[in-house]
Amino acid sequence: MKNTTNQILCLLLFSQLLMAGARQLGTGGVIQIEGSSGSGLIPWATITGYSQEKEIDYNLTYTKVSLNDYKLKVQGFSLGWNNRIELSLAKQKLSAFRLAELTNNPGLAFNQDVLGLKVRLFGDIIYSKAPQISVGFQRKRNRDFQIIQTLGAVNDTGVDVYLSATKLFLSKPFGLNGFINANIRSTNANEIGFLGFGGDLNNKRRLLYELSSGIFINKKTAIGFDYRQKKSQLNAASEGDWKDVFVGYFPNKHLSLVLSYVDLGSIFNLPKQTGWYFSVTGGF
Amino acid sequence: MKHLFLLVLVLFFFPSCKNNNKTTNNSLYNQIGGNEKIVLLVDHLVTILLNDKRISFLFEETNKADFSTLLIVQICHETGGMCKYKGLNMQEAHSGMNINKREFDNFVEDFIIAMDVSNIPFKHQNQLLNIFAPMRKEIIGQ
Repeated sequence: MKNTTNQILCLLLFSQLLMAGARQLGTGGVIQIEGSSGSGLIPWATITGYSQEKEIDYNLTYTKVSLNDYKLKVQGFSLGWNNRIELSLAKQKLSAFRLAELTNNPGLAFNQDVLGLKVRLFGDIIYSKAPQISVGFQRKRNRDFQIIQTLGAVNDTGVDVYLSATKLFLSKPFGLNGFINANIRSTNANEIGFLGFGGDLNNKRRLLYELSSGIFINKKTAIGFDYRQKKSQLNAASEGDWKDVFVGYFPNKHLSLVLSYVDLGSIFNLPKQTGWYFSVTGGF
Repeated sequence: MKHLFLLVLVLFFFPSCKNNNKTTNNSLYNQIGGNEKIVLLVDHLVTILLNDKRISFLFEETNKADFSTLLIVQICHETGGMCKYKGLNMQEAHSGMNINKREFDNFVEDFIIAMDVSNIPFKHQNQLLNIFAPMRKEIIGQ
């Protein structure tokens, strides 16, 4: 009896040891649309993957968002080192199939590359009383500036800087593990950069707020929402705040899946851009 | 946006009536199944720790029986059972071991596996983790 128990334990243990960082399941968040670790729409203070001191983690991500008049695809690569530094690359393609029809411009799409860097300044999402605090940069380059320029956008590149605080609460609320994340972001992007940077209405950086919160309902499953404030600076294309409700699933430290329902408001004068968001991340 | 913030704050910070482990009848100790369950949990935990190549070296000079007893009494004490932990405090107990954050995380992972195989439900696991998580700063780097 005792021997069998021991064998089961050793097997269990072995399965947990296959090349993954030391931190606990889910504590690296998932990969958000700009390639940084976070929830669906916004980054968190987390460092991607599960790396702890003297460890390094790599992830590949694919995200697809199907909206009423657009389709967004994101391919991402990210790296987390020592639970301290995160580097990320994301290629985003926002296919504007309705606009393509309307303007008889087949294949119309807005492409953008995002290079991300995040540094954990202090704190630990679980163990410190104060939240984990990180500072992040997202350098964005829009690859379809010719179209966007005609709208009044000023630049094809921009750098977003954000300060992020994330805290997980063990056994709160309802005995489950809740989490809150809040960001403040300095940016001059239009539609996070899909419509370029700076505009005819405003060409200065603004501070925008972002919030995400939810609950781990079991070890592997988190539910929650994101809220991302946005402000219009193009006369020709007003934009609205982004929000979603999500389910994140972490079957093990090597895989995470996200399904969410997003509301991205009006994009390029096409209102009510709601739809499904699906994302898969593999890491080792 | 304001309403969202308020809702979130209320959810997380409104004092819950359930989290009082001090009353004996409703203590976490009784909820998880008392001494019998804690003995089982510690038995599993020690077996896992000693077989975990990442951190088993930390227990090379540990007497398994003494270590188990200390853990049982400490968990009993911290969950509101009728025990009194009189061992070394966490700082003294780990002095000279120089445990780093990674090894601490490895331990937590093993602790969670031990709770799983001891059939301790998720909510009780969270409460147990919540009791021991604040001890991290007294355990690492000593």
